[in-house]
Amino acid sequence: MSTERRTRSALLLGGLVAAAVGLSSHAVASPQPMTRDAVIALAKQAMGYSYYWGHGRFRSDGAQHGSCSGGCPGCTHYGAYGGDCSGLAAKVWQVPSPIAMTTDAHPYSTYNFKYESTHWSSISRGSAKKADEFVHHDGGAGHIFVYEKGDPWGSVWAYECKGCAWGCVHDLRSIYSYYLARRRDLIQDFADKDGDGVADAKDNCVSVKNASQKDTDHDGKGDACDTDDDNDGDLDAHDNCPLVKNADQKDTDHDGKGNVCDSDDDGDGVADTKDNCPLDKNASQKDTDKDAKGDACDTDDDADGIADTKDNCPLVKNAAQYDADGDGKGDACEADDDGDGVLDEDDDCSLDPDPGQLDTDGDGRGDVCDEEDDGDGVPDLADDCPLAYNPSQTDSDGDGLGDVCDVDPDDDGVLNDVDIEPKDNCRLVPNADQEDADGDDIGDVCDDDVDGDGVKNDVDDCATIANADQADTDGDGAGDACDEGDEGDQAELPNDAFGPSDDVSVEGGCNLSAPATDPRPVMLLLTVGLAAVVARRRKR
Amino acid sequence: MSFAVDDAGRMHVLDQVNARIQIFEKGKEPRVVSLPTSTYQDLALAPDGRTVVVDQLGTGTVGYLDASGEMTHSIPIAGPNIDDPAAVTALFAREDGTWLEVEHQHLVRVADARGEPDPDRPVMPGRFSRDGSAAMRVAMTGPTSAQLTVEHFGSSGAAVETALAFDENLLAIRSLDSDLEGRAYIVVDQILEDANDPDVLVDEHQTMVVVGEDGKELERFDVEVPPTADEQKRPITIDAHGTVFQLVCAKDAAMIERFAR
Repeated sequence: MSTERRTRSALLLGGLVAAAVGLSSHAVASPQPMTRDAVIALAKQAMGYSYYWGHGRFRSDGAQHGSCSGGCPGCTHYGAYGGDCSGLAAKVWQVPSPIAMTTDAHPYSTYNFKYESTHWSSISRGSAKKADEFVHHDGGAGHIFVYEKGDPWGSVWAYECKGCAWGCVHDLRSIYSYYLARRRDLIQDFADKDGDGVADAKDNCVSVKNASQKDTDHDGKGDACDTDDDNDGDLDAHDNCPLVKNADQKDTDHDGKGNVCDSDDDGDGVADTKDNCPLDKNASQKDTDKDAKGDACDTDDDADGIADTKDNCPLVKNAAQYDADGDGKGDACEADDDGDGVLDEDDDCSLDPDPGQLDTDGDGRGDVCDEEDDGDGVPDLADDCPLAYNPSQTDSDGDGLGDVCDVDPDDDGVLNDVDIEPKDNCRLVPNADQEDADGDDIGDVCDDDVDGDGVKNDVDDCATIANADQADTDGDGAGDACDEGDEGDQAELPNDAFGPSDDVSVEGGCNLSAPATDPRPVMLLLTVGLAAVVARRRKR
Repeated sequence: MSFAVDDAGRMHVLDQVNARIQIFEKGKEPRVVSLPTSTYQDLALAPDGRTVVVDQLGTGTVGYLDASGEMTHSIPIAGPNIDDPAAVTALFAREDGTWLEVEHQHLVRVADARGEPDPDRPVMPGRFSRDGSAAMRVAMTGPTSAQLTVEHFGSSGAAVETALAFDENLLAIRSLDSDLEGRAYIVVDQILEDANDPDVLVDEHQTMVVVGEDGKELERFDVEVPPTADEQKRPITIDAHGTVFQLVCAKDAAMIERFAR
């Protein structure tokens, strides 16, 4: 137990001692912030020194402990160093103001520590922490010690100048309810030079306040004192993203904020997190192929497998790249695919140039792309008249051209259907001579009333001589008009009456199978014309 | 201060300030045994009649006094398993030697039955029960709670643990002892501070809790709170039969009170 037994006169003595060592009134002095560890460090310096009634003076080298004998206050002390309990308490707390351990001082007694609160305050006993102190003072006697920690029984490891017999010791001692707990003002749980609440030992910016201890680049140097927070080699002052590593300083939209820390890299007003082209300005967010990659940054906008740079329709899927008119613009995206001047929507052959829009059969499909132009049901390739309706495909002269489109279907050398005269008076029956006995513009070879007497040849008793009355005097079947002997004489017709053939028999009537004249020049001409028509066709 | 009661009922009081042991026997004048220094803090009575004292802070030794009161020899406390003599919290003298308790948690045998230093310094958790059959220890587990742990030697069973709850904050555990029937006696100091001024105590009382061998709490009752006085290493002790002795120190005197249960 401490043997400090001080009366009020002893307190006065303490004050005189304080004055003697250069301390002015402690009421005007002020202690400085101090860590708990610092307090304990000073306390450790004092351990082993002698109990020195009314003093507080210790060396840091542990030398010259001094000695104490007898019972204090009447004890005898030898040496210049040592202290009593309150001398130690004030010295390690550095109150009322900082003072060297080697400077003798005894500014307070246990009375002061108990009843005053100049530079300390009262705390609950149970909340005591390292460097707090416990004091008791009763009837002029008292004791004070520096608390370090407790043990499982609530006993206390303490630093104390315990008494003349023990001196200043670090011991495990009992504590009683009459001890009151005191906490120094401005005590810090740890050293904190910048006062940010983080112990210097753990502070990544010891001299700069940074309670958050943010250290972006984890280099052990807090951002608050790190000139390159993200450690990218670009000093923060010139770094367009000081907190995000970006040595390349890439800034797509040149807004002064690097891409790695810019929420809208391309500055198109669409946040990168939602931008389908975060690095290409595309406020519209157009995405033709809906592949979540905007057209602005999609190398194949229409997703047809053809890169836009080579795609003749970059925005329209056309893997085949058809380009009917070869103008470099694919059909899939061209309004006039065949380039014939007629828009596809109006073009009866949108892929075949067809400025005339000829549509012979009126089926809405132009002839140039219609495989059956005339609508007669016969494909053009097999049609002997592809541009003329002739489902029967009649070809009287067998020249490959149907009659309906053959200018000389009977191949007699006399053309039909042309604006020249004379026309073939027997269109389908060869009659190069165009004989027309009755002048009715129907050639004889195809005239069923050659003589025009109103009696059909097959019943006319004079087929080539008009005899409407059919008089046949001799009743031989040959009309009088043509009967050489009305009495039944047979008359011999001139050979050239029906042509050069000797085989002509009057009994057989007219032989319409007259030998053909050479039609070849005409046929050749027509054949070439047909080939030309066919050659212009193509299938779609 | 500390004290012990021998089998004959004599009170041995360590009066450290006056560097002496006073032995009180009914009907006789107190006998005084002088000590070399006033720094001895605890004493124990060995089975062979010697008195053992410990000085953690002054000389850092354990001293042996013969029946006549002469200090025959002393041994150092510091050594294997005890780095700092100041950590010693109690002294026990048994037939198997001298044991020192460290920070109220484990024992280290520092000397054999003759008082000669034990080079091995074995360690035992807790402190011995009265009959030596178990190791006991108690520790605060919270502001208002503590736990008693009793481990019986040679038993394969788990230690018997007893949770102790209190109404007020524990300031300290003052004592742990036992009787021959295996009952444990724990004394705690409870305080209630004023919420606005912790210097002011609204309430304080010392409570003794008695726990049976099976770990069940048997009873608890208050014992006297000593007035302001010297630091005491062993303020309360129990004899083999459960009689409670309390050392009450006042300003100018000390008194031992006995409570029969």
